[in-house]
Amino acid sequence: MSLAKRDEMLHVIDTLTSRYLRGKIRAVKLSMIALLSGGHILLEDIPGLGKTTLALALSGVLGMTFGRLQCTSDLLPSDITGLSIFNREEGTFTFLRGPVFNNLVLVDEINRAMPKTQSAMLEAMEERRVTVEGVTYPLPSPFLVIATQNPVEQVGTYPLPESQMDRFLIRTGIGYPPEDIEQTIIKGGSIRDRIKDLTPLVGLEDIVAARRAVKEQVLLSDKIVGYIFAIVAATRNHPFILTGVSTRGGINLAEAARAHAYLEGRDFVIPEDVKDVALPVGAHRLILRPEHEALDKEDLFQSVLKNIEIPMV
Amino acid sequence: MVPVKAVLDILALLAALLGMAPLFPYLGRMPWLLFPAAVLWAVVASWKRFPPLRGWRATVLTGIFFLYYALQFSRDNVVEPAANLLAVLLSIRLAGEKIPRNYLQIYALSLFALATSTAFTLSGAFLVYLALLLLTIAVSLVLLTFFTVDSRLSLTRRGMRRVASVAAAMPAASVPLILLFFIILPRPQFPLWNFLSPSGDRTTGLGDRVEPGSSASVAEVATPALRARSSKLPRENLYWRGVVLNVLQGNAWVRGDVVEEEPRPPGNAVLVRQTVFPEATASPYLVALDTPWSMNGVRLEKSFDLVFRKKGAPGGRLNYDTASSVQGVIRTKAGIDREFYLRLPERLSPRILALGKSIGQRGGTDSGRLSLLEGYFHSAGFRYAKRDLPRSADPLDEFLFEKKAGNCEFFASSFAVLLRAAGVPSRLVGGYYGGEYNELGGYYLVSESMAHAWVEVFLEGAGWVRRDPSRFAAGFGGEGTFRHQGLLKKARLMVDSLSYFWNQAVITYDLDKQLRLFNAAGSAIRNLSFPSGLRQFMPVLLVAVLALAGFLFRKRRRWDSREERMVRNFLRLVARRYPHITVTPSTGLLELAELTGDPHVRRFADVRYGALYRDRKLTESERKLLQGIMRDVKQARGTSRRV
Repeated sequence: MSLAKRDEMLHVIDTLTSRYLRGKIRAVKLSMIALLSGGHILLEDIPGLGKTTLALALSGVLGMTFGRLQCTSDLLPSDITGLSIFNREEGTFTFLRGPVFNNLVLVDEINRAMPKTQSAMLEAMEERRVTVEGVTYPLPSPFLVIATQNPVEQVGTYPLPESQMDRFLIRTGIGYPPEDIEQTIIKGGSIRDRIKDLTPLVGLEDIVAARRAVKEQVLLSDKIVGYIFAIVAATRNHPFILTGVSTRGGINLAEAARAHAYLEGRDFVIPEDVKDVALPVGAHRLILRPEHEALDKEDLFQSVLKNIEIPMV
Repeated sequence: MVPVKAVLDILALLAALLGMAPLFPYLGRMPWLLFPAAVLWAVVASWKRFPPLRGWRATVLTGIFFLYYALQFSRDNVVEPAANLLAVLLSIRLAGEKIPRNYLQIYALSLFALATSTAFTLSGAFLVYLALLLLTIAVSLVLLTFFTVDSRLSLTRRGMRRVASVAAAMPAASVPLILLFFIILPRPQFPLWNFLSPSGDRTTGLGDRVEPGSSASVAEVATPALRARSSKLPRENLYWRGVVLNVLQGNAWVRGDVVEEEPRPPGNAVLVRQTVFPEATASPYLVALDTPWSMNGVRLEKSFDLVFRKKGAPGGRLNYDTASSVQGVIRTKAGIDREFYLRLPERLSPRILALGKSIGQRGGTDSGRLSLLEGYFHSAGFRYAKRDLPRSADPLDEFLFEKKAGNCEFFASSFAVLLRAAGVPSRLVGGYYGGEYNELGGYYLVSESMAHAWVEVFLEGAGWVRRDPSRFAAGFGGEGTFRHQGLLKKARLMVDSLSYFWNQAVITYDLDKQLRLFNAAGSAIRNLSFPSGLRQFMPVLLVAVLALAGFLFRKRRRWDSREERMVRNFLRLVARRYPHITVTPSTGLLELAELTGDPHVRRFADVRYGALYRDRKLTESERKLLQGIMRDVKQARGTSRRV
């Protein structure tokens, strides 16, 4: 039994990673997972590793409309959602849609925006609609937000509160590419110009169909549900962790695991799917106890995973 | 770093020594020389790196020796050639080239050698040798597995210690099983060599023939003759009665037909109870404290003169309980056949005959004659001797009138002959006198050197009365004890008590005791009594207990399904195949496939996951497929060896 549109999705990943985003396979794959399971992704890494390039390339190859927000401390919610402008000729206010009304929205340096703007953005991400001046506008579907933030800079930033981190399906870094690939990248120069010429490989309908396949064709066994729950419960009972993975986190883990299974060509989820996506999906949702805050959340989550038995029966 | 080969060499040598040590005293001249030479050669060769005896030379040598000893085999001579052959083979292997197969042969030969030693001696030391040998072989076998993979392998000191301790734990773990098997396995009543060589040439101090003058001296053999568990008794009571010799043929006292004369039990006299553990001998007579009235624990026949004879084949480890009266008197219900006990051989020294006649005339009554004769023995100045015994054609005559020195045989024989000549019925009794009481074990140790002969005289009104003419001799006082004194004696007794416990607990543990044990257990169960009300509820109670046990068991651990078992087996297989990968419960099968890079594991994971996480059972064909994969993994493990 074949999974609908899987080949097209794999083709997208192949094209991106082999020609445009070399050395970023994992980030690309996770972005696809986020897209297929209807979540959003937070890229957390230092500048200059291709976060923006990744977003641009994705939008280009997926045939999605693209909006970009460069966050600053004076960015207002209306700069995101759009605002009504008085049309003198018609004598009415017309709503001018902001950058959020795109299939793919790149929110650059989201932690530079002030909390008010952040929450407006995150609300839009969660609700998939925007209410301006009493009128509710639905956001386009599919809707994928790729937010980036620089974890190193602290001055003049408003770190995302944990409750809002929870809204991202995936948080991941990009990391430096492998040595040889980085050398060719340096030699070849920036690929921004080439990305502009990217032709869409799939259409919006394809993405919608793929999303439906992930939801309907991939079986999530009760055993896997039990496994996911065991992970979630373990994070809640861990002595170093103040607040573990939420129920939404559990739902997201299941969805991401499904998308992962879909990309692997399986119509059922196996524990390895869950394990593969567990760190990017789960780690950023943990709130550590103050005395253990220095610990790396991903390492901690990994150690939790190591102690959870895989359901073999 | 410790080279495995060096350790293996040392252990092989140790195993050979342990196996041969108990057998060594019984070897023939050639292997007796060959084996130490081979040991020496092995030591020097591994030290100086001589070229070993290899290939066809060893084979030819083996063949020659095998032929030589095979020719010596006969129905009566099985054990000795076998022992010698074993020793020679072991020597050749020790001196020869050391390849894994030869190490194995050394272990096997050592075990055989140790087993063969039981055909010669059965002592508690066997257990020590066996335990040490098994330990040595267990460690060697484990090391041998390393050696076969890489003959030049060296282990760190720590690694070697770990390997050795794990290997040594294996025999230790088998100890409970050994005990169980010891209790339940049936075993023959006789040692094996009884069937191999029925005409064993073991001599004992107790025969059914006493012939003074047949040898110039008496050998002092301190080997144990019997051990008897009893209370401590006065020394003068320590006569261990074996056989009654009632006919004088020429110079020899032998056992003729026993005439019918019903002995009268001692009534309410105090009986001394003993449990006797005789050493294995060829003698059929069962020895017990004089005068034994009853014996239990062995099939026997009891004759009128209270001689107990074992039925069936002689020898074998056994023990029996006896009850004896110690007065030294056997009363009879009716009289005795006086004429039978007065018979003398046709040819008797005239001097003896004359002396007897004169005592008979002067004595008047039997008891008067007896005291006259005792007076004669008392005053004539006889000396107790074990060397330079009379050996002429008429040794009794020479003893009585010329040498006046001899051992108990001379005293008893001449005393009895003189009594008969004087007209007093008499007979000779063979047995043992004395014994060393072992306080630790609470038993008497009687050795072959304590073999003794004395006389029983029939006195009207009293019955058969024990008389020991050797007592009148000068120099008899020390008889019946061990020569050694002080510390040596104590050590000897200590060692002997170990031997005694070994015999009691191990050697004489036989089918009979097993049956008794089982019967006792059975009757203990049968005799369990419950209140009458409970008896009716027993079945209900039983079911309830079973149900509870089942429930608890189920709660504690779910029954494993077939699939679960299969996965567990597979994981074990993979863990063995890839020892560097740690498989934990949190490792998925697919993950494992990636870690190992093994296509078999990948296929297994695909099939297993395909069923498991689709929420369905394995189909029969899938199960077959999985089993096939497991076979493949196993075979892959067999062919590709990882070092």
